[in-house]
Amino acid sequence: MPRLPFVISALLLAASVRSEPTPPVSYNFAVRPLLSSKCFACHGSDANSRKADLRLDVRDNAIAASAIVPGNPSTSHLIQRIRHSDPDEVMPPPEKHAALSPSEISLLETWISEGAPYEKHWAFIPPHAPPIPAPLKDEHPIDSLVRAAATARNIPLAPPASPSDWLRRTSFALTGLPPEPAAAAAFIANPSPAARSALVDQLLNSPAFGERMATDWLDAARFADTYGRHEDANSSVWPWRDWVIRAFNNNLPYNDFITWQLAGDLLPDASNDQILATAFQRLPVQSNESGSDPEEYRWDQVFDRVHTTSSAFMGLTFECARCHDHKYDPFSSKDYYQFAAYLNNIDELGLFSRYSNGVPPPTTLAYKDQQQDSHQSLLAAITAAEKHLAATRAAAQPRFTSWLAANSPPGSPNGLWNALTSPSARRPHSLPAPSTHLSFDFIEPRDRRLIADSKPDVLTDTSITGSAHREGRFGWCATFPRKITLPATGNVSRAQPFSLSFWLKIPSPHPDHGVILHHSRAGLDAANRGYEITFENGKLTATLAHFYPGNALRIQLKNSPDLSNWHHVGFSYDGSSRASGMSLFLDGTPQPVTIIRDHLTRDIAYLDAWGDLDSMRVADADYADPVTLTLGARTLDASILSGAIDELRFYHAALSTAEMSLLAGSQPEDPAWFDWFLREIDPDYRAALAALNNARRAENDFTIPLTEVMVMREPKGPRRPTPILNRGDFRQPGDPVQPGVPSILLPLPDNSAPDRLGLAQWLTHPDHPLTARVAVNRIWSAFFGSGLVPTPEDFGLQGQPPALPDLLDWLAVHFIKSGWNVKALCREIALSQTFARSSSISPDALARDPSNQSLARGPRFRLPAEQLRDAALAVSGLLVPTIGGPSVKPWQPEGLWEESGTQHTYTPDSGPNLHRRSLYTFWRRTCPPPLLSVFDAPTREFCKVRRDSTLTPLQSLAFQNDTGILEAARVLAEQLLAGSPSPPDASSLAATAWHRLTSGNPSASQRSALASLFSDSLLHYQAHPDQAAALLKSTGATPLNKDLAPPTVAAAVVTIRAILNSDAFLVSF
Amino acid sequence: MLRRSWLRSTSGTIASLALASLAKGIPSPPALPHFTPRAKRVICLFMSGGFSQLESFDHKPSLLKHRHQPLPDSIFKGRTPLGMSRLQSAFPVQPSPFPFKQHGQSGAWFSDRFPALTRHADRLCFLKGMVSDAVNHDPAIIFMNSGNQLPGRPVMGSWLSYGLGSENHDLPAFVVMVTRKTIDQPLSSRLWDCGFLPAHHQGIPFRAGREPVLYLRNPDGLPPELQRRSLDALRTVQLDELALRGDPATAARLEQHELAFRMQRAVPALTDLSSEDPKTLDLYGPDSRNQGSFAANCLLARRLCEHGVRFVQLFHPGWDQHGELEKGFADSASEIDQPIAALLDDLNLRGLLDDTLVLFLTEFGRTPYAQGGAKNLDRFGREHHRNAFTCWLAGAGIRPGTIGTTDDFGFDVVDGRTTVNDLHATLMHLMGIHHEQFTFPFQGRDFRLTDVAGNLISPALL
Repeated sequence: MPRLPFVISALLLAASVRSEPTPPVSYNFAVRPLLSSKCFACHGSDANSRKADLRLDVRDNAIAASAIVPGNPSTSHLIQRIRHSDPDEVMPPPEKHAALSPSEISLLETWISEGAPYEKHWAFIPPHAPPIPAPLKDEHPIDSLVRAAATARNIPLAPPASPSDWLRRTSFALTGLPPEPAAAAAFIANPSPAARSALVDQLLNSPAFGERMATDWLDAARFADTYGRHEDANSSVWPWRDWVIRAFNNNLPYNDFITWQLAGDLLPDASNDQILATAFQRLPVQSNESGSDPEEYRWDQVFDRVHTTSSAFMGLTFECARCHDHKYDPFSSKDYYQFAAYLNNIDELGLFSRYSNGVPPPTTLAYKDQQQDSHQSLLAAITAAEKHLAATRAAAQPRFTSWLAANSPPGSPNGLWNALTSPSARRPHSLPAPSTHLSFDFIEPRDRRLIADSKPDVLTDTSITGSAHREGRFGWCATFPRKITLPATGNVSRAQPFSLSFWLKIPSPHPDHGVILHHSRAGLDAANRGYEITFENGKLTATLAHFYPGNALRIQLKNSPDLSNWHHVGFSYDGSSRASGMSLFLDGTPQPVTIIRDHLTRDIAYLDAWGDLDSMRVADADYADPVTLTLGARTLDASILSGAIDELRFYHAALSTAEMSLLAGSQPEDPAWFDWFLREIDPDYRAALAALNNARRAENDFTIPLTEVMVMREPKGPRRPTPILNRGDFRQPGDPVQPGVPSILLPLPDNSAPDRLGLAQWLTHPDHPLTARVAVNRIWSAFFGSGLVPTPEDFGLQGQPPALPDLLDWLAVHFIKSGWNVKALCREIALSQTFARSSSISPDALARDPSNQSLARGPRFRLPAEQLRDAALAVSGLLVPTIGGPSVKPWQPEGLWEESGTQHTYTPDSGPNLHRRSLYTFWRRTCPPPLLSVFDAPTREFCKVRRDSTLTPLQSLAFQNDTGILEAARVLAEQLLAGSPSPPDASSLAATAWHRLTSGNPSASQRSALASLFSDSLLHYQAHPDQAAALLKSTGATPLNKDLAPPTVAAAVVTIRAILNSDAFLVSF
Repeated sequence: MLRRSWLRSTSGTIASLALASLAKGIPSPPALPHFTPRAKRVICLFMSGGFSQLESFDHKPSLLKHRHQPLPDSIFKGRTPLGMSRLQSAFPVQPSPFPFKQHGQSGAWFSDRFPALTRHADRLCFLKGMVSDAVNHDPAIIFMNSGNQLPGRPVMGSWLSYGLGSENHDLPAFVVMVTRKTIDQPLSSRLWDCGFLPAHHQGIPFRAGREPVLYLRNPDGLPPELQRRSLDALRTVQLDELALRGDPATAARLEQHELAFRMQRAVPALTDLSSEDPKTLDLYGPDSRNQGSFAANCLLARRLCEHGVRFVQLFHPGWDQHGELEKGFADSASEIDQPIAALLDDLNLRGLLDDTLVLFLTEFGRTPYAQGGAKNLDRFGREHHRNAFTCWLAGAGIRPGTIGTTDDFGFDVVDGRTTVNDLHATLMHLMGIHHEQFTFPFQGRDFRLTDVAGNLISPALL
């Protein structure tokens, strides 16, 4: 049941104390919440629970039923029934215990007498700048609006906070860190308005500002370091987190902040950062469980994008409308799937890989320093080498003609015999030797393993017996289903040309899906990494993949030839990473193919550099075996059930048509051998080809160590159709829809592009009712601990309306007018009187406004998890201020990941990475960082725009006993003691420690309590030096200061630990 | 003086005011229970990985008759097999390697892998017609725990913690224990996550070893008396802060420090099984002396129940037998049979079974056909199967018996079909809650454990 916003009472009060004409009663802020909490359950939109067929949420219905007679409360049935004295007649029925108070009834009467106007939901009307009520001199509109509302509600405004309190809260709000002692001392000495202004500027310009603001956004964006489901592997998306920090530090306008993340890749001449920003849309949880239907999981990604985009930018979820029309908010299933259609057009699998450590495409490379330039020049070198090769080929025909005069191509009848018998005959040539040839004719007798013809010491890994080995095209062959592996064979990179030649016999109809041969660990489960010749949809198909489908080449025969007798099949690839560089041959003739995928930018090999050989990552032992050329079957994939294969040859070259033709048993004419001549004979061409292959290899090698990040990228061609899914079930697609938005919020502008850029332009349109409100609400909560709308996840009809709607709207309009300037807005809030008020609470204030909805006093809230730990590191001087980079592993309780069943092992980092800011802490979604979790950090599995602020004993335990916090306490203790006389004065030690930890000063009784804690602890540890040593041993890896007596340090640790767990440290006040 | 009088004048309302200042945007919990509950607390034994109904309780003699023959089309009914076996070309029927016998007056079927549990044959209510919506571990296990296949919804224990709170303010309302063993399928903390409910309703994992609850132990060299001394100083500091700044949360935090201190004593005492009667340890079996074993966790579950913990959930992995099922299942069964039988005896002996509900759950069952097709049938396994599997209930408010029957192959439910939502509805009912009325508003919708479905499994109720 939503609480009544205090505006209602404010309005009532205003009506009673002011003589000026009262404003009309607000339907949105006064009437609707009342009707919603008292009436709509039985007389609202839900037809199933509607009583007496009466609905009050639609004005026409209420009037038609005479429940409301505009202008005439006394004849309105609504009022009559509410005021009725008969318990059988009165509404709400007595058993609902929801009777209206006299003031509530009179509010409804006033509203009806004013004509009972209904309004569109407040948050769906674009914000308009409210009039500023009688500003005082130099008063900021924020303060005028707060003052006026508080005055109307007769709530006294709190006095200003002390300069040191203001400094501390401002420092946390803007940087997430406590004030630096030197800067604090200077400010306290002269806390003038100019000094405040300068200080705010200094904080806004510090790199810590971006880190602090990014932290909130990481929750909304469900940023984490792992994919999140099933085996929950690491996902390396930290470059995106660094982009968020940069965006805030560079003060990227908020409309661009949205546009880049939604559609940076679609901007003209998109920069690296603009593309990287779209990783925001690639952070939904992903699974890698064998046997998963990728389409089901792909839809989950799309659903999550819709959820996150609507929650993070609009404070709404369309989630209900995934399965049915929304019950409360005016969104239909069609609206939902139209919105989803924007986000449903990337070439993604839906799963991450089990048997490789590949990054699910689409991806971009996260370049550092000059890497992008270097990469561009390597790509340019390839283009140049390709041009040179083409030019060399064009000029080579005369050389071929003259060569033919003295030479005969392979297989010619005027071959060797002629040469021997007729000296004038042309010199004969033969086909290049395959690097591997398996005729299936030779068997090693003991294990019956096949012997490779090309290299007699190479035996297949599997033995062959019985009907598996029968008469073939030439000699013997192997029959399907069969798995035959050839050790250390067929290893290539995407930059190397290669070819395959074999004879095949497969009865019709061809299998829908089946593996003929492959060089991979698995199909889907390895995202098809490697290369393979398979049947797909009954058609012969060749694939080279880094991660199918988004980073792969695939061609498929256009037709489905009869293969029920022996036919020769050839495949060649030129090393170009293009589908046009792949050919499929049947009986020596290149076949017409359909290009299914044509985007390959990363190697097709399994590499140690990528973690593909990491047994922790790719856990199952047999998949850690070296990948090699394999016939017939593979792990977790379908075999071909009948047919046979014979005479397999593998070449480290892209064979020409003439060669394939000869292998298939035909004899091509001399002119057909031009391409063979170029590749094998012509020195100019051979040099140019070698140069091109080297250039391709250099580019491939260069990209291998670069960090790859998931991003959005639209594939070429028509958009993927988006159907309405019946009940949200991917197996029940209904009518297709086009990209579109819920026009009740704002119609699409004319000529809006039907893509994510169009969506971003709609969201950032100045008339969008939600975008700016949601943004300023989020920024506001960084300062006040909660937003003006207390349910930032729901600006819809069921959410709680803002207590100060005018303030929200003023901020929103002002924010848009400022060019969506985030730093400017932060500056104004930070320098407002509202933010500068004392947060001390009198019993009277507590009773009147317990949760400070009026903002009559300053903000007071427990610091967020990250800021608590960062503050402890900062005050002890341990904090390492390095910005960005891969996530780090600070201390956490031993064995946590292991015992929670995650199948992952946690090893804390050493050195500086133990003391980085908490937003860099490695975030495993199946077991998030425990110290942060305990203080309400979310799991980051889905968008979360509000953190609860709970109070639990586990927080107490965690902050007292975490190794990292104890380490901070001990290092600070050593610093304080190193500058103190020996033995230290307990009272001044207590005061100094307090000041370092809280930037303030203790009261006399606090000081004496802590001083006596220190003294008592010192006595204890002097009596038990072994315990002192044991305690210090539990305080992390920073070397101990051996000059200090362990009992003294231990006593100081106990004292500091107590302050760390007091409100003076834990709370922003 | 000022401080004391202020405290006195507001002490009754401190907690509520502290909550008010903390709980912006969080609705207050409903008044529960709706009616007199049959059960006060729950022990949920979760067999993670997909516990085979065909090797345990759903006896199918037909499998032997059709041994290694293709699963008849009359059973498959043209449906596509799911999961890994969808690429399989043959679906040979695979009988259980374990003989079955009837036990108790009810004649309930047990395979010979559960010799101890058979003595409770007349105490259990088998749900042999369980079905699930999901066929992969990750979505299925989160579905069984939260009623939804995607992360983000509160799990059973969190709902009950939110709705009913704890009976013991020194202990959490929802405790989780994972058997310490080699884990075949990964688990996730989302299995005890509270989703959109306030964060303190998440399950608290109790771990084997020196520190049963994360961060419970003071650092070495900081003995309890010094901790007490430290908290006394902290009390003065906080009370002065309260007097100066007037925030009731300051007092509430002080209370949490005290509660934490009490937990530091209470939890190790509770988890230290050395105080148990050796006879009781023997009852649970030799494993009960190994910390972190399922047997030790069962015994601990009883102790937690005695101390008023609302929902104790044990996860026991080791049921995902895609291959080598005979050995894998037998090994895992031997780890749970005696402990579960002992737990039921122990609860019964202490009168706890009258108001403690025991749930035996898994995310799905296994196929009657062998995985991997016709190859390696000597080392056969079974694929995940969501169309029919077996769970059981016992204890408070439960009518023993068998609900649900499957076809001759255990492939589909013939009658007595029960869904995950039905199970959740029944759980809520036993706890005195109308599942349809126990909701939490979030993002414009009233969410509930049973989503938009769920019917009471009435035959299971006394």
